[in-house]
Amino acid sequence: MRLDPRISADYQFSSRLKLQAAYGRYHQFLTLITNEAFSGFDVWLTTADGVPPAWGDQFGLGLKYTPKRNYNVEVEVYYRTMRGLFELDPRIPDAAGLDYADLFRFGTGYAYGLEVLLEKTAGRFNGFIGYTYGNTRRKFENYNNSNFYPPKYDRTHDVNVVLNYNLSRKWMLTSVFSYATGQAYTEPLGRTRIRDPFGTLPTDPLTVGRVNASRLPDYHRLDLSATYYSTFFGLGDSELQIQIINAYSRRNIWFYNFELEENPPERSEVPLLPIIPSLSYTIYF
Amino acid sequence: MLKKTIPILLLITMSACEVYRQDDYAEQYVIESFLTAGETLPEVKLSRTIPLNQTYVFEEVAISDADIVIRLTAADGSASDVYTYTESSRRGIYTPDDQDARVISGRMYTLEITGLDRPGDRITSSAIVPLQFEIVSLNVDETVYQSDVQFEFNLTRSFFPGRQNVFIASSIALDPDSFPLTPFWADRDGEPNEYIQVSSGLINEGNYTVNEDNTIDLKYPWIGIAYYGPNRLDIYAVDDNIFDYYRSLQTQQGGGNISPGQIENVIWNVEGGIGLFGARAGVSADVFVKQQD
Repeated sequence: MRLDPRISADYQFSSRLKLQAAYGRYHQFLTLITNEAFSGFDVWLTTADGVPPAWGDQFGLGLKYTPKRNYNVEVEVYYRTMRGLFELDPRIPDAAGLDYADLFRFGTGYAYGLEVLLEKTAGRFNGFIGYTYGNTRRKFENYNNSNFYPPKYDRTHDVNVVLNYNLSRKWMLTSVFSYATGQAYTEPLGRTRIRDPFGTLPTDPLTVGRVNASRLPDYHRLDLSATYYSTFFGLGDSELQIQIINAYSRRNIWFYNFELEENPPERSEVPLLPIIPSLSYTIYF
Repeated sequence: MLKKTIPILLLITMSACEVYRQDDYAEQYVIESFLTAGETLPEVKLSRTIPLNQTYVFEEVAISDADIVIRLTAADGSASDVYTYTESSRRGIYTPDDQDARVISGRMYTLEITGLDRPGDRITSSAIVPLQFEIVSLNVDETVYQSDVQFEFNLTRSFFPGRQNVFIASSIALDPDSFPLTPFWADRDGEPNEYIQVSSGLINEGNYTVNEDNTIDLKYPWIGIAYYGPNRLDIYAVDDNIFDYYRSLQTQQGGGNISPGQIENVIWNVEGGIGLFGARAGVSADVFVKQQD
């Protein structure tokens, strides 16, 4: 059993301006192990003897401002600690015969950032612009020289712009633009060759830089859609949606692949999907 | 109020910006040497790393004129024997002056290299040789590949301080010109002669049985045999340096549960450089692998 105290307070400066402050302690009893190449491999791991829950304290301070009806401006800063982080140690070659706790590495971390939201909630033309400036850092014993590093999901800048335009009672046009700082990755810098005393072929280890200190190119994408609202023979509401995903066919990079069997190794880019048209029809019963 | 508060919040956040930049490539010394219990002292290879985009040729990165010694550590931590090395006719490859000295199992050896490019540079690495063990019995000396009867060794126990025994099984094809590759290896892209010696990867306690008489039963994995016909099967208990090197190398090159594109560093148990100064103790048996009908 864990105690998770939480407190929040509001101060109303005026009918349009509100200050909010909050503190909370959170425990996490699960950790997700995922492999982007095979979504079927996602595994939730639980706490157990020797693997206590991760926990942290979160502090937030925000302002909410309503300049006029249907318009909102929100600004929030946050800071959170992460303690007792646990994740599978990727260097365990074989789990057989090991105690559950021996499969993990344990660490700490912290995150802080600023979130800004400009929103128009109603009207023929509505939508929002959201911006997040964030920094997340973690560290694990004997990894990255026990120094803090940004996890793969760390995004320094993240922008989302969603615009809706009601062309008529039946038609709505939507555009969604996303921008994010490129994903962090660890860059190989050098290499050598070491004989394998157990095999004919030599091994070709790489020397790598600081963990996740390099970034893939920035990610950005525009999705456009037109939605037609109707009914399905009086049985229920329906939506016909024509969508163009990644409208300007930006080839965002998923990851760099290094062909280590080549001498010298060759780096290639593995991109995400190009422009994709999509048509969907949904019936609501 | 808003005009004042938002800039303050922005200032608080931005002032905490952190600079976390990638390192530039830095050349490092590389060592390579493997102690095997009961065998003569090994050669030591000394070289330097190259940037990722350059072609690797050992002769171009080999380091000459270094001063190399290997010290055998006594029980009290002092050096009981010191073995000096001299560069051979091959650049960057050093051989022991004492050609008769044998590697003693259960003992710690320390490699020390000085006289390098930059004055004051010094490379050291220590390895504990696992305790030598023996074959008590081998169930069969020939069997059909992937049949129910697998080569199974009954072994006395090795010992390595502070952890369970970890083995690597390795096979050497004794007549690769007369026999074909086994299916797993035949499906690979490489040339057949690249698979004359192959290994199983690391085998830990979950994969062998400890008997009441303190012997262990270890089934030789089929994946560790590349050729039909006569093979020499080796079972090696390995030290921490080899264990750390292979488990982290496997992760670096895409093994384990890491996402594509994630590149982990290798664990180098070397001060002043990188590489592998490993130790092992092993046993061997000659067997015959028959093809399935």
